[in-house]
Amino acid sequence: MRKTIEADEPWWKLDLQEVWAYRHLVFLFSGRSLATMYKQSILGRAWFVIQPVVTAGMFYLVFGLLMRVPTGGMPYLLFYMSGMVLWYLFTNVFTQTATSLSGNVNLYGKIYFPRLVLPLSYVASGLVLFGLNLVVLVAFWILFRLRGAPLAVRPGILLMPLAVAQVVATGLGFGLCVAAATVRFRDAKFLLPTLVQFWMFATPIFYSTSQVSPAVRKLVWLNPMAMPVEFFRHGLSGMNPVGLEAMLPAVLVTAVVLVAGLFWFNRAQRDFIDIV
Amino acid sequence: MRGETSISIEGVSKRYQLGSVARLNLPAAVSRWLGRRPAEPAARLDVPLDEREFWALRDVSMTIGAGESVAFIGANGAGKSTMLKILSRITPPTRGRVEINGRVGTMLEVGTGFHPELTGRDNVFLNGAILGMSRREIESKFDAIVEFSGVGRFLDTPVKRYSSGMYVRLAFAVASHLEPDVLIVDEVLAVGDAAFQRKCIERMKTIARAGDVTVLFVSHSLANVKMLCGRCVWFDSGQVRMDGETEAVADAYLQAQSVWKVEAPIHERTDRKGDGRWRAEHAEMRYDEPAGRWIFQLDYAAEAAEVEEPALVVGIHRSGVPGDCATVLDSRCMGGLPARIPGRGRIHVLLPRDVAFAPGEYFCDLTCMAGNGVVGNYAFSDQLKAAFSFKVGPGAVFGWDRLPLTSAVMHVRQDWTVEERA
Repeated sequence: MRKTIEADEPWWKLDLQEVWAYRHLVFLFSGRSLATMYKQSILGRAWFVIQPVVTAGMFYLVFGLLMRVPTGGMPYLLFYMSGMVLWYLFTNVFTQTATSLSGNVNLYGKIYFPRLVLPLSYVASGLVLFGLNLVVLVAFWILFRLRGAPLAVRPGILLMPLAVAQVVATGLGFGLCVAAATVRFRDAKFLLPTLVQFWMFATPIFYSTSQVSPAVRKLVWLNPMAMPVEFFRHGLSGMNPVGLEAMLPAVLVTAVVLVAGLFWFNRAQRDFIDIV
Repeated sequence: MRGETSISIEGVSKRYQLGSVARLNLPAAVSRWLGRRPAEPAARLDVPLDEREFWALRDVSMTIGAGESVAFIGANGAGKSTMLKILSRITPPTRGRVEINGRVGTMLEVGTGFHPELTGRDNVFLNGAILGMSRREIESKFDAIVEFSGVGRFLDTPVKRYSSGMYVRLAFAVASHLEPDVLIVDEVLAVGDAAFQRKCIERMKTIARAGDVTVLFVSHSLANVKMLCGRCVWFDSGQVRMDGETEAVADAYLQAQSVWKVEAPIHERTDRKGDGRWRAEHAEMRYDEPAGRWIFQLDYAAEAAEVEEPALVVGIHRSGVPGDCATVLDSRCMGGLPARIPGRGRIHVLLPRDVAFAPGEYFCDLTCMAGNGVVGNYAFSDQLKAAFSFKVGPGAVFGWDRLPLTSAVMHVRQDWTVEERA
């Protein structure tokens, strides 16, 4: 194994092979964050199940009983939960990746491993938490189905992993861009919570795109998180199918941002330790 | 592996920018992002360019062979740690290039990446992986790591419950058991209690002596450097000042580093303390070749015709190490001086024939005292730090052909006999 360290490494040189060599570290890091999440709480690992159930109950209370928004026939609880489950996955990956450089200066200042390992570990642990949420969601889905809710199983449900992939790619891509930006422009850090909040309202979680006027809807589809949420709901209920006019912009925006994020992050991570 | 080049460093420089670099300077940021030019700090005309940047390394080149153990020494800020950081890829060089053959293991700090909530066992795996070990490797070394650390009983306890000593022991155990081709170690051995430090040094010695690992070692302890490394590189303001055999480089470094310096001949010195009842005018330590013994000599002068209850203390220090006293000549111990001495005179102290100073440079403090009326109590008459120095060459130790390998500052003559036992 021969390694050359150059003063000026070209920005397009992404050493993905090295990331692959460190893949077991990705899983160790994600295992670490999952293992330590509920350490020393009395209920311990039960929280992994309690958390999504309690959240679902809260949604039901607020959005199912107090404020009723038209959902196109989908049970309220399922409607909100399906949106929130994906949104949690997104914020998990996005916010953690965005702070992965500036938040780990101590670690990176003492040891080298590919900086992409931490963001990827957030994806892995985010997916595990998403899986647990999904189990609760499916349990409710079955319950509603047994009680006679109009939930049809369509072939679209098989494509749901693609919606999840879109969410992860969006979170990762934008997260990498913000992480790279915070290296020189620390201000980005303070904008992050506001940005996430604004983004949440711009995403059809508490409403459906079918309620939005067609002109605005075009704008909504530019939000790469809107499509997967609606797509996911369609898979669960068989209602409101999502067409190509929604998919194309979302996939395109995410692909561009993810690629740009990878290169920008790669460039920023090289000397960020001297700047942060 | 031996004979091959392990690391080749070609013209490496490293620049740090001082002051704020977080200022939003859009044109500069854009051109930087496009990679068109090296990052320039935001223009501030009121500060000259050379004050806004700091070159931690300037055009450093060297080649390190496989299996070599090399120490980097130098004052704080000389660039040795920056060099280690570049070699371990924590920070990139500003200019130049480095080529490294093989896997690099870094120990810049013990316990980096330890998670307080995780058990000792989990942390061994996590830390090992961060340091570049594969899962299988860690599993195969697990028992050795636990054995070395001596925290076996607490393996399933979260490390936040560990004492700091246990924490450090486990961390060093993990780091020292990874077997890279190049091991980079910054001053991490100065942790833990004395027994564990010795164990760490032993472990490092084993790694260094095995010869299949290239070891780069930064330390301020020259004793450790001499023990571990055959080659030594002395960094001074970002440049290599000397590169060669450890003994030679370390000695040259000590000389230059010495906080002891004889400012002026004794009679010209003004930085003296004391009431001046009697003062040193000239002092020396010389080796009397025919007699085969060291002799200390002091010329003094007093205000009065006689000095009552005089006492003299000569502290002899090995160069470079403040507080490290080789020996002390003290007139009060053996009734060395009479109750009265003449107002002008010369004091001689003869050292026994069977004692010799080890080669090196020595600095002597002088303290002339006189009784202050209370029995056994003295007042300073004249005190001088680093009043004079003397050098000892390698031949001055009883004409011995070879000297014992030790950091001892004095040697004693010795007679050896053997007899048969029944």
